[in-house]
Amino acid sequence: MGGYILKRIAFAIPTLIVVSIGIFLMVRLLPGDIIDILFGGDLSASEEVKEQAREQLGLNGSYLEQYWRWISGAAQGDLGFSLRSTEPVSNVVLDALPVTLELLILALLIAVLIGVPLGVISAVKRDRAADYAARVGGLVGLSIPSFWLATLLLLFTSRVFGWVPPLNYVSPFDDPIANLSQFILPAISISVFTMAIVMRMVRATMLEVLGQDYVRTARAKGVSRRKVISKHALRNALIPVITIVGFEIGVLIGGAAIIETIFGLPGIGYVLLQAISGRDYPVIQAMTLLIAFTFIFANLLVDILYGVLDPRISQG
Amino acid sequence: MSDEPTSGSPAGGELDRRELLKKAGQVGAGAVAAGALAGGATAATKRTFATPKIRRGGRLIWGLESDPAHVAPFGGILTANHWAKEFAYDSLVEWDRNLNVKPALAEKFEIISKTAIRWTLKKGVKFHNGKEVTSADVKYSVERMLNPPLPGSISTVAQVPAIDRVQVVSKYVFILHLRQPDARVIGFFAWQRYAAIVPEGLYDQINVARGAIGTGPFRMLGYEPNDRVEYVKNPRFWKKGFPYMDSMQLKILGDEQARVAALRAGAIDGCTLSVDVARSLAGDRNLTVLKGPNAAFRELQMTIKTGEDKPWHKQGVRLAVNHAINRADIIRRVYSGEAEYSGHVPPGYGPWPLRDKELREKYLKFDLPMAKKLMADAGFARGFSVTMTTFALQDYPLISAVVQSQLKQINIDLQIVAQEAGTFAANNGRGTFDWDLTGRGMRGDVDGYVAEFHPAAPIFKIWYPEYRNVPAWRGIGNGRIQLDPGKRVPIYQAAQRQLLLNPVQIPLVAIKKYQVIRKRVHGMYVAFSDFNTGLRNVWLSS
Repeated sequence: MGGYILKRIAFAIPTLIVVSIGIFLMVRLLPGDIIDILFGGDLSASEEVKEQAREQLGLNGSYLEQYWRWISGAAQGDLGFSLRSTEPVSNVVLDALPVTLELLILALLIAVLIGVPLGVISAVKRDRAADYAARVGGLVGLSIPSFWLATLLLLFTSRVFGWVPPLNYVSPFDDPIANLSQFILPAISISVFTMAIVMRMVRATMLEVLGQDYVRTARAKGVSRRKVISKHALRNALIPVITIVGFEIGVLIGGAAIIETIFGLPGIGYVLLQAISGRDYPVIQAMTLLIAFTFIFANLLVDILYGVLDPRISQG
Repeated sequence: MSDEPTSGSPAGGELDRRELLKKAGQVGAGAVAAGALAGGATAATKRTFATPKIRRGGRLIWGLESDPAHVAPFGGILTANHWAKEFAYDSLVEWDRNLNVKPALAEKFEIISKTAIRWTLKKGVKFHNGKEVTSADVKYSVERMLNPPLPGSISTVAQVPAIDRVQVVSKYVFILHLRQPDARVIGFFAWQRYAAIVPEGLYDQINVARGAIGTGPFRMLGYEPNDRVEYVKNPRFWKKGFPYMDSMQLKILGDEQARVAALRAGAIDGCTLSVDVARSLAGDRNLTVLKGPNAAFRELQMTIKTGEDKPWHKQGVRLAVNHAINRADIIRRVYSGEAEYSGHVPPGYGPWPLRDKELREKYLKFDLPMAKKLMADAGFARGFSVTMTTFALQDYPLISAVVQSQLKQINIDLQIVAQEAGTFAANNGRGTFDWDLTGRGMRGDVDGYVAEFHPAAPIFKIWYPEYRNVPAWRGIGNGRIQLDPGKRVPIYQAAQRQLLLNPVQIPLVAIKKYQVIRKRVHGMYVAFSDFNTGLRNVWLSS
């Protein structure tokens, strides 16, 4: 298993390097740089002043030089400074990371804790009312855009209950209740799509597994229905679900950008969107690299879990 | 100015323009430029209602549309930078809500020569740290206006008038030396955006990106990026009796629907909203919708570059476009009647803009037969095709579509390309466009609205190096060095007329800004400057 993990990590490094080059180039291929933004409303600035500003922000030199400055700094933990606030980017990341992490964890928990049982019930009660209800629910979940649901939830609770989630970020360690009330609506909004995917995947794999010989054998041996489902069927049905959850982390991070903006949560996505509109290269690069790293790490974790659930995979 | 049925203008203790002029006049023979922007603004509407008893205390939460990035006093590019810091800092003079210049940290000023202004500071004004404001602080501040340290950007230097240096005469008296005569100085300080007065050594004392030490009505507790700015009352504030509130939070809520939800739930007390959204809240009994004129007017701008031979290089074609645009139709269709005609200086900007009647009936008159004749005379009766870029946000795509349909009547086939703000800014700044439908913003001095039409402006060489308008150039050049405000007004109005007779940027309409507040908020108004200046004097009824 150790060798397998090391091999996977070794694969992750070149992936990250390629991603970093891609990010660096894409950011610079955006039309307009921060100098254009900074001087956007100023019609009296001369080219000399603009050049001075470019130098002040460290945007001088060729792309190669700029990339090397960035990547060598990043390798040593120095992500540079935000071009807009001059804060160290590592501080910007550290401020935003807990918010997004919490949102993702909560969203995943909701998706899995509701999606898996719904999928099991749907499979076990196939073609009955509960199954139809779950399937319709799944379709609705797949069809609803998360930003629309978020706006709707926000307007609904404000209009009907005169309540919105607390506006200022509260750490779960300071006040878990306030924190939960702040995150519950965003987490629901972002999790619905993943929940529907999980539900449908669990249903499909459970139906497949329930028809397998070893399940029939277990039943024939007199093992209780509950035990067959939970111990024999579900464990095997969860393997593809774990893959899906790994992929869904990417979807969730993407969705988080919009959801964080709607709910005013100062997380990675929100900061990234602000940075993109302001052409704040170091922040865009760091945030995107972080997202790429999270995605790669999540998939690495999925692969490891795969090996745990099905030892044949890591041995192979 | 405001929908709010109250006369509760709690700005007592301020000098009006007449008093200010009298005060400034006390200082000898120099030409007094006080009230450089004084005069009747369209916004000044007085109403008489029973004034409710002002209540002190309480906490207000205001929703901001965007993050300020930092709260440094100098070199802040974003408007949001000033939204976040405007309650912590003051300058030498200030504008009232009608853009009349009022004394702030300076008691008086006297123009002693074309390039020198003597200022006298008020005595006993204290910074939030308890230190008294002196000429040395002004010197330190002005030096940083001229060369903003990080996190500020030196790009704001272009907004600073021709200030050379500060000569400290005594603890409370100093002389501001100019490199050349420049009438923009007073407006620059009154605008305050780039002209905060800070204690000497501020940048060595605190992290100015996240905190502030000024003289403003509120002391900044801190700024949390992408989250909020916290303020508490400054008990030493130099305007006696102000502010009324104990504390204030500026909460950053980028999403408009989130602001609406927070407003309805009482989580925030007010915010800026788009026209349609604000109007949809008019029926809510807990909310008051405020509206007011705004510095941001919309315009159609063209490039006239060397080596190109485009139809609109002919003055007649540009005039035809101007007269083919039906602004009344735009106001009705795009803004539901809530906008105004605008020249190159927007209505509401003190005494400087041209009168509405003059614009409607002459310079911006919708006259299709004349427009068609002008096109025919220029040899373009069959029209031409042109691409017009604009912002892919707010009202821009809509107004572009209306202009497109109107210009079709003189056979101009307008292709609209809506762009993301950064892309648009890049193309605009580099002059890589034929036509743009864009907006303008607030300026510290009237010169800021017309300087770009003068060949001395760097952008002139990029946008329209082949444009010729000598009468306008003469006016713009003279206006900047004329320090007597009484003489400046006709100069700039004449220049505006010349710019409309030979347009290269065609003003469309001036829009209104909407803010929605909860009923408990009193004394708020929509500031023309696009800032939230009204919050300085707000009080809460419960």
